[in-house]
Order: sequence, then C-alpha cells, then structure tokens
Amino acid sequence: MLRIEHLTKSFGTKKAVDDLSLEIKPGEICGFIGHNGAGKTTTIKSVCGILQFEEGEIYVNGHSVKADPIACKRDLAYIPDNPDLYEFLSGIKYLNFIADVFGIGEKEREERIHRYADMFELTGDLAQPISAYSHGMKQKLALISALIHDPKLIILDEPFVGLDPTASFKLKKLMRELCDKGAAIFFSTHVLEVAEKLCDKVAVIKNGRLIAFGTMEEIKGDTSLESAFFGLEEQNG
Amino acid sequence: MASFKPVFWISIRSMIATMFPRYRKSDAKTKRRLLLYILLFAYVLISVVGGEAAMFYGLAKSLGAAGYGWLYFAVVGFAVLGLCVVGGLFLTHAQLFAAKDNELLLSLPIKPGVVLLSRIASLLVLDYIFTLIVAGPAAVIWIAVNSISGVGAVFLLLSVILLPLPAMGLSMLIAWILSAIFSRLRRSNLIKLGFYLLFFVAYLYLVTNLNGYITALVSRGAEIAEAFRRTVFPLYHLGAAITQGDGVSFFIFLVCALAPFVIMTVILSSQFLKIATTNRGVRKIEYRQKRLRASGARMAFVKKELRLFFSLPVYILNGGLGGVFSVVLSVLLAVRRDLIYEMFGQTQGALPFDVPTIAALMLCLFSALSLVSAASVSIEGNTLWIARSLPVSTYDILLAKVASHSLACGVPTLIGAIICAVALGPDLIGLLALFITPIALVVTMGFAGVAINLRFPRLDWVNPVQPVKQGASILIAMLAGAALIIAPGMLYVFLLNRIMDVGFMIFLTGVVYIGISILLAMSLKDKGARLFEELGG
Repeated sequence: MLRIEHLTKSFGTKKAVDDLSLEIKPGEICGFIGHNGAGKTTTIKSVCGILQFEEGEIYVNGHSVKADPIACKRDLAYIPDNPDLYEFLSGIKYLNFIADVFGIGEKEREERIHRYADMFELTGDLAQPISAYSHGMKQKLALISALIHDPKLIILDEPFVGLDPTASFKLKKLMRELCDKGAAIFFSTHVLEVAEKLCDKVAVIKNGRLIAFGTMEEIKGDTSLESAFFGLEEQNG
Repeated sequence: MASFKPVFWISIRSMIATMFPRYRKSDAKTKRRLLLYILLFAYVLISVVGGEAAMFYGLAKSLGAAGYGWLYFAVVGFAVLGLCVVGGLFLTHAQLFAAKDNELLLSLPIKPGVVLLSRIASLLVLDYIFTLIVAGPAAVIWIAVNSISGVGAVFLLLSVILLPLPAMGLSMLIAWILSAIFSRLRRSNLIKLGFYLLFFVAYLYLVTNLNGYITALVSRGAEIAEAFRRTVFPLYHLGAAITQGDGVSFFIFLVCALAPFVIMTVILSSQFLKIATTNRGVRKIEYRQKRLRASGARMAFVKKELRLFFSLPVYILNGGLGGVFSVVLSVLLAVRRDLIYEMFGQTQGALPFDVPTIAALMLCLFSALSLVSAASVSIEGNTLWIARSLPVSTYDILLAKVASHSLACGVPTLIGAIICAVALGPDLIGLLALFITPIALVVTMGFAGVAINLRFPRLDWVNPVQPVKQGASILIAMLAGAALIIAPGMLYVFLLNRIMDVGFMIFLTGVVYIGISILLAMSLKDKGARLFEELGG
C-alpha cells in the first residue's frame, strides 16, 4: 500500500531524510519512531505530497507521488501533528467541504459523518465554529475528516496528542478494525507502549536515516520496544 | 519592566515581518525582490507625501493670509487623529483583545500590565509613522509659507510627539467597546463590517470635503471659528500653541492629549487579565441534523474561499472596498446625477466626458481597488496543509482563489454597471465600456493578486489583520491596480485621443485586460502552481 524507495529530502545543505526505504502492506499498522527532529514529519509530509523531495520515489497504492499526486491523495488520509483547521467554518461545514473534495455522495457522507462523530462524541458540537473547539475537539474533527472517504492508507502524525482517554482507546480500536478491512496505517508516535501494543511493523529513524525497519518481533525481540529503541539509538550513536 | 523589551520587540518584529518579504542572506532572488519592494514602498510614500504637500500648501496660504493659522494646525491634528484611529483600529482590536499569543505570554513570568504596555507601545510606533507622514510635510509647508516663532517651533515638535497619544486612547476605547459588544454576539461580522464601514466613510467624507469646509469657514469668519474653538477646543489650543507660542494653550492641549491615553491605559491594565482570559461565552449553537448538500471539489474550494472572505470584516473592508464603492456610488450617480456636475464644478456641456463614460471610468477605478486575492495565499497561514493534502490540482486551488475574488468583487461591480446602464442609458460602446472593462479588470486583479501573493507570501502571521492589511503583496497589488488604470489613461491622453473615442478606448482596454488575464492564468498554471507547492505546509 505504501512503498518508499530511497527517499532523500534536504533543507538547504541539511539532509532531513537520507535514503529512506520502507514498505507497508494492506492490513498492516506501522509505527514510526525517532527523537525530535529525526525526520519523521518530513517523511510523512513527503508521502502526503505536501513536501517536494529531490531523490527517491514514493508509491501509494501503486501510484507515484511525484507523477500522479492526485491519485495518491485520493487513496490516503493525513492528520498532522497540530490540527490547524479552517476556524471560520463550523465542524459540519468543514466535514462537508472535505466530503465535497472527495466526491462522497450525500447519503454516504451523512452516514459516515454521524457514525464517526457519534463515536468520538462530537455530534453535539458540529454546528459550533471550529474557532470555539479545544485542541482535542479539533483533533477529533481532523480524524473524522480523514476517515470520511474510506481511505486505503492513513498517515497520522502523533495522533494521540490531545485526545481524551476514551477517544484514544476508540481510535486504537478503530485503527485495528480499519486495517483488518484492508487499509494500511503509518503513524508517528513518541509513546512507545502504544506502538508496541498496536503496531505490526516498526520503523526507527535517526538523523534522517532509517536505522531499523521490520516486524515488531524482529525489532524488539525478547525485550520491550523501549529497550530496543534505546539500544538502536546507542548502536547508531 | 525587564520583560517589556522582549515582548515589545516581538510585536514590532511580527508587524515588520508581515510588511516586508522574508529575507534570506543566501537567496539573491529574494534580495532583488526585497530591494524592488523597498523602492515601491518609497515610491508610494513619496507620492502620498507629495499629494499632502499640495493640499497643505493651499491651506497654509489661504489660512495664513486670513489670520486663521491655528485652524491650519487644528486641521492637521484632526487628520492625524483620524488617520491613526481609522488606520489602526483593526490592529488595536486584534492586538489588544484578540491576539493569538495572549495565553502564551500570560503563562510566562510577565505581569499582565507589561504585556499590555508592550502591545500599546508597538501600536504607538505605527501611530507615530502615521503622524510623521501627515504632520511632517504639513509642518514643513507651514514654515516655508508662513513663519513660526522659536517657542512655536518647540510646541510644534512636542505636539508631534503628543498627537498619537489621544489617537491611541480613542482607538483603545473604541476597540474595548467593540470587543465587549461583539464578543457576545453570535453573528457579529455584519454589524462589525457596517460599523467599520460607517466609520471609514465618515472619515473619508470629512477629509474629501475638508477644503470646502475650510473655504466656508474662512468666508464666514469669526463666528464659525468661535464655534470651532468651543466644540473641538483641544485642537484649537494645539493650533494656538504652535502659531501664537501660547504656553497656556499648549498646557491645555497637553492635558487633553495625555488624559484619554492615561485613563484608557490604566483601565485596560487593570482589566487585561480578564480581557485576555475571559471567554465571554457566545451561546452554544445546537447541532440539528440537516441534509448535507454536495458540490464538486472546485466549487467546494470557491465556497470555502468566499466563507473565509465574509468571515473577516477587515478582509472585506480592505480587499473588497472597491465593490462596496461601486454599488454605493452607482446608486448615488443614478439618484443624484447633479453630483457629478458639482464634482467637476462645471455645466453639462463642459464635462470632460459624457456621464456614462465617467461612470465606466469610476467603476474601473473601484475595480482596481479589489485586493481580495492579494491576501488569499497568506491568509491560509497554518491551514495550508489542508489544501496541499487534498486530491485537487494546485491550479484548481489557485483558480478557486481567483474565482472567489471575481465573485466577491465582480458581483458588486456588475450591480453597479446595471444600475448605471438603467439610469444613464449609454449607447452600445458605452454599454460595453460599462460592463466589460470594469469586470475584466476585477478578474485581472484576481489573477494578478494571486500571482503577487505567491511571490510575497507570509504564512506566519499572528493575527489576520497583518496579511490582509499590511502584507507586502497588498501594497504591490495596489500599485499594479494603479498601473492598470494609469497606463491606458496615459496612452489615450498622449497618443490615441486623436484616433478614437474615449468610450471605445475604455472598451478596448477591457479587451486588453482579458488578454492579460489569459496570460496570467497560463503563468499561474505553471509557475504559480510551482511556487504554491514550494510553500511547504
């Protein structure tokens, strides 16, 4: 579902991502971990077609991000680490806007919006302007807008930040259900316990280079993901 | 007070950063752009000061000769106060009552009063710039035309230092009242817009009719001057202090200048924590499930752009002022055609062109003031990632900005053209000139605005007043609009007036505007899209 081949992205002379390759298949949840400034968000933004990159290739569901970005964006959903949304719109108008862009039928969009809004307990606030939302409510709205078009690949940058425990639990459950139905999820997190419980695969990035990538068992072995992560960091000092 | 300096500089930097293009040492292209922008900025400043100098020269001569020297400086004081309040009201409201970083600053070990004082100080810098632009040339002209005593010169200097203070006090008071009223209203934008518009039009009306008032005042003599002294006595004392070197008058002006500023600063300082942290609690809007209407992706973006435009009164007032004027003045022209004769001060036969032609020219002039798209990229700010991550081509995103600009400004222009056509009954060429050229210019300004904003974007603003009102692209788009009007005008006056009628020339200019729009659309598809994609997100 997602194939990154030798991705290199520089800002000036600094290589933010250096020759990164990985592949995520349908049904897999892949955690993306690394310290601050390691290159996680740059990789994620490159996958979503938000940042242009110099070298390498990214394929989403077989479509090249460079050659056919619109086909890629149709198949994926992206939630950034900080959900800055159109504050001049109400929640429902924002969701309707997203549904318009993805060409979702009227009945379908109503059903999906209300299903996910009920799930994340946001239905009662949908008429409110987004400017009146808390950080967590914005995060929930961003999640609903990402799920509205039934994406095949979901890219999440720190998705649990700002969510209350209930919403966080529901999101984890939903992520698993979506993958069981054939979607793939690639998400960055600093919460290693969550990654350990949720992920089928893990990618570890340091200073722009992928230092480990494999199944959860391959990466952590008999130890915890936390121990494995610190071990990898040390080895690649 | 050690924390005053950093907070003050942050406000100033944020203001300057929005006004000037981002400068990177290694980027030669940006350096050239910055230099070009500074030259354009200087050109605008010189033009404004030149225009003022001409106006003040006439006033200084007539009022000096009539023995109303004090009135000259009273008028200057009024112009400064008006410009500071009208020009800075939006920013004062945004900086003091709606700043995004209020909570961040209050979380730091800084006294709330210091946060407020540093904000006021940064706003005062802007007011001092306004004051110098108006009072500087006015003072030089007065000294050149008439004379001034040594004491008068000292009072003049001190008055220039004092003048922004009452203006700031007044701005704070109005912004405070507005904030208290509007924060309790759910749909306050329309009322806010109406209020600002009324305020702006009243100021514009007073300033444009100033010469008439002064003439009347001079001709009716002491009686009106006495009434003026009684009603706006602080301004009378300002004038008397400078022209007569009167110490008592200066003291009265000093007290009048300081009082509103000090009172408002003390009140707001004691209230600032409450102002910055109280959620005045607009009643929650209950969600009721309704049918959701679907539209295409392109239309969704156009609707989104229009919603953004209509959600910000400052955006409407700065970007869409031309459209508002088009409707207002067309109605005025239709109802009171005699005004146009009055304006030219001549009889019907001696007007430079026939009335429908003048109407077409006026609509073109207002179309050149349409600046909605010139802020449309910058206004995306932190939300740029949304458009960039959605399955829509970059060209479509940019076209939506042009389309919403064209709708927001083109519809009022069209209404204005219809009113003029019905009321004035132009011939065929006049009709074409009335409908095609102003609307074509709105569209050209739409394309030009997006193209300019892509080259001079600022996405890291603190409040939306900055990109909409102070952005570099706004100034450049204004100049582009002026060039689009002046260039064909000059061509006609110096070259083409012998071979074609002015109505036909206006129509022909409209065809040229359409051509420019096509070229800009082609450039937007290629270069514009590339620039937008390079903005990151």
